[in-house]
Amino acid sequence: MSTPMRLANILSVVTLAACASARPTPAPVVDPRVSREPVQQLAPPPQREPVRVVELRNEASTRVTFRIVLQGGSADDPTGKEGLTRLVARLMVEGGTQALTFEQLTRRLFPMSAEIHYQIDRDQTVITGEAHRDHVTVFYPLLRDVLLAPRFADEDFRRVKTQSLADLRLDLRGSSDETLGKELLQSIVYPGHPYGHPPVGTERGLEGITLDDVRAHYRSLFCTARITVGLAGGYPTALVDTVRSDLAALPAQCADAAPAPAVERPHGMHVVIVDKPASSSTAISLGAPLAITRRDDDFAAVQFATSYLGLHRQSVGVLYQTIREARGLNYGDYAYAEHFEQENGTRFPRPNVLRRQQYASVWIRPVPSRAAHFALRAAVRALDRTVREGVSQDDLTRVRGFLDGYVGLYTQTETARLGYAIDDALTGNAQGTWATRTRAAWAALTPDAVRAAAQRNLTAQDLWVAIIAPNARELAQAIGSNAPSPITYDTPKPAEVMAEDEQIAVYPLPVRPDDVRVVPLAEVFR
Amino acid sequence: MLQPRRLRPRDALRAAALALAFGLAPTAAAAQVLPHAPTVDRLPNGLTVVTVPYDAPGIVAYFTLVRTGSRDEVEAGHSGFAHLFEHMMFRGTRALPAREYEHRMQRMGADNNAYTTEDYTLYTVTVPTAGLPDLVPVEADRFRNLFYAQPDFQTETRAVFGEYNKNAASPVHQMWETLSELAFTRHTYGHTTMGYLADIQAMPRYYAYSQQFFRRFYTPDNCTVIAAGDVDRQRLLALVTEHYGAWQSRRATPVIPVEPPQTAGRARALAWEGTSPPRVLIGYRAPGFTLQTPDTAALEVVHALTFSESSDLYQRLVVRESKLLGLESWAGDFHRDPGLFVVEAALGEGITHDEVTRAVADELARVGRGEVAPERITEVISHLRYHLPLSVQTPSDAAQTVARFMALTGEPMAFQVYHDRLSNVTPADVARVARTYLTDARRSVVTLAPAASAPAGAVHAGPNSPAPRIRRAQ
Repeated sequence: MSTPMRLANILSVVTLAACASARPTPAPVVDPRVSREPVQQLAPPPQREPVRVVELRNEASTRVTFRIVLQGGSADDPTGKEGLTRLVARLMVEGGTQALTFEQLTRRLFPMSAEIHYQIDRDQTVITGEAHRDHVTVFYPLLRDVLLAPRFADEDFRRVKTQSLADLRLDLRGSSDETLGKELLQSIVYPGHPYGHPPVGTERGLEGITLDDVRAHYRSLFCTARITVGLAGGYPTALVDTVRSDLAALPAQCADAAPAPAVERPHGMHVVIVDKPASSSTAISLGAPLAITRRDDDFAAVQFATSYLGLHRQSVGVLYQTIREARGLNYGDYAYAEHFEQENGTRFPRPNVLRRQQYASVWIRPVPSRAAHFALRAAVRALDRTVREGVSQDDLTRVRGFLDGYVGLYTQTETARLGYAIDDALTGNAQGTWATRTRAAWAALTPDAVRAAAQRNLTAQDLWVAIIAPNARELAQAIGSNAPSPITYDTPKPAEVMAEDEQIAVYPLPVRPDDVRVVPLAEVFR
Repeated sequence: MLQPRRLRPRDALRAAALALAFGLAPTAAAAQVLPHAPTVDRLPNGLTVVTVPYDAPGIVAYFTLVRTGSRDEVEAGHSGFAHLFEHMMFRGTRALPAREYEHRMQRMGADNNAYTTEDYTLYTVTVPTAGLPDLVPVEADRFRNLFYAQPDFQTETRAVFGEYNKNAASPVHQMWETLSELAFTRHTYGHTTMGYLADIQAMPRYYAYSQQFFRRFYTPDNCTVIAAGDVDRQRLLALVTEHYGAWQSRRATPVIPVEPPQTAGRARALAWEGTSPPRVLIGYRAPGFTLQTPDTAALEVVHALTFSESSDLYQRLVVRESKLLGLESWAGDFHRDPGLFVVEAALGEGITHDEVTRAVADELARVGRGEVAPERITEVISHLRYHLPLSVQTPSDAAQTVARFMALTGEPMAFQVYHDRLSNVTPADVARVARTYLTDARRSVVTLAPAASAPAGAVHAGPNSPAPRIRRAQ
């Protein structure tokens, strides 16, 4: 429920280099409850096929959709050049081709209302293209040249680098405490790890990138072994051979993916609070690394448990009902069993953000600062209860009924169907669609199975907590000392809510005073 | 019930001429916004029902449009109420209290949400088609019989406050709040849909007013059910007739103050107590949405012509000179009453607020003098003609397209009529609307600079401290 967001769409990411180095992170301790399998790799494409192609042709469609998925993302940024992969992708899309300047390219695309965009995460980068099928023969060569013959001119490089630095320094810091909190969480979950900086990079990393770095990094990433081409919609059948033949111009092999060693949970709760006096409220994200991904048997049950706890932007979850619905403390509260990016214009998960490793997380939207400690306690208590008790048979039936219908809505668009099909191809899932497989796995769940999987994989004890707060020191003192956090309201609440409040207000968080750090906002991005 | 209305016949010649300009074969899709013609029915109580066939097996978007938004908030101290009320619509009825309502919707697998604008509120439910027989009675019940206790109302007002806090971190939100108040001295467009902070904080006191709000505006003659996707019209009509047929009430018609003409430019500077690039938000007083003249369509051409990525101004200031970090205009931001044509820029190095404002004005003046190549206008019209059909990808998109234009006009087929109008826009229309509406005298400008570098006299604002109101609450 919202007012429409037509205000400037702001950006995406931030880093925490200074925070990670401000104090040594606790030494990783292997949690005996979690079995550590070797890190899984995405399935390599078959040797005989130069470029893997995933097709979803639909004669009736008036559009043509391309998704060119690169197995490579910000985890491939060289040390000291954080932000390089995103800069390469952005410059491909916003820097023109060898034949056309960016201005000329834009003016070719414009009358067709055709679009070329990019998305990037830790392990995957996607160049997307969409056009009306009237225009596919004009559009495809433009997209091909973006992929195979990017211009990489100095003036475009300087512009895109300046814009990326502004994204990092200005917009994220100034405009979205929630996004900042989510990126802060990932930075502290993955200290000293290729996932530890966001795709936009670090300030020092971006400043040190040269155009030669961009050219070299493009060559090291864009080879047929790393690329999957997705085609959907009303394209002519001959186009597939053309695409295969054109992309064969890329080298067959290039750099190996950066290793992504498994990370461990912290011991107890560790809290990082960014001191942002200008904030009007407090944003909180918390989580812990997972030893599983969606390729593992436990995943469906763990995802069910987090959906019960707080499915993204839905009121179904315990967190939402506890913090927003009963108490009106904020706009929403959600939980995730893998990294989540919301697809533009929807509330559904975006495809092609697969990772080799995952983390579980809880997102508490901004709360009044006086209620931050209480809201943190309420969230951890709900998480703890879900891990310890699992779900009742009634809740299992109810939430499963919802999810069975809801997951079918994820793939309404051509680009979403294509993206999920590519994810399936990359994870070796040939049976049915994501929705049908997930429904089948959920159908087999029992309360015992959900509880057991939650206990094997989730934790309410060993957590990282990222907070953006205007009263950081005061909050750090309160959290670190486990001081009671009684809540008062300016509106009446039912007796059962008041009674539960008394328990939440003294719920012990597993945190020691030394495990709460305050980081000035200005240092977060250095 | 009305007989179904059909789309106007396509103008094949016009589509062909447009496509030939690009050496492309004409197709039906560029001429028609939706792949299949909607049908329109109306119940005797005034409820309109639009059925939109759309190829999405097993999925239906069941939207309810209420032609009420923050425009209708005519009483002082009640800004933000249409949006708050949208929240209250999820608080259940006597027959189906909030928790049971939630559980019923969940059992259907419903994606259930809503949003509010200046002119309308749209309730957006998407469900598997098999759930439609369960959904229609539940939706009818909440629109006819909404009931919530005072404490629930008061709790929900705090969720709205949380939403305000979420938005308040953005400097552009506060610039928009200021621009609205600067540009409108009397009309209710002078406050944002979100509402003023003080009014949001006072909301818990207005339980009785909220019930009055429901009676005033949640009436069959002010609502339209739009069902898009895998849906059978006759089956839908039978369900809707059964469950909404006995609903009887009439919309109140509040007197919306008329905004006097603006005869001189206005400006306000904000000093931002937070991190942001310098920004400028420019609003030109523009006519309300109309299909009677080419003006709305022509202004939409001006948006794309002057401020899109393909525009001369964007390519010069953002791409070649890198003086702006971003430049955009709020294309498609239509209003029932005269509203604003908005341009937004984030400043980089080497340019001042005044220089941006002047560059925008100079470019609009050039358009007004007709100094734009006709083939460029043809390109823009082509872009817009393809853009709208390409933006429809799901039943939800289809329902929203119908809703958005119907909210402005009351006409279910307005989206297609508007799409047709775009093809008729001439270079003379483009020059005329720029010359008539996008002038310095009709302009309001809000600038924002970090507090350390703000000009003397700038009004201080920040996420913690909204800019003070220009006028005292009436």
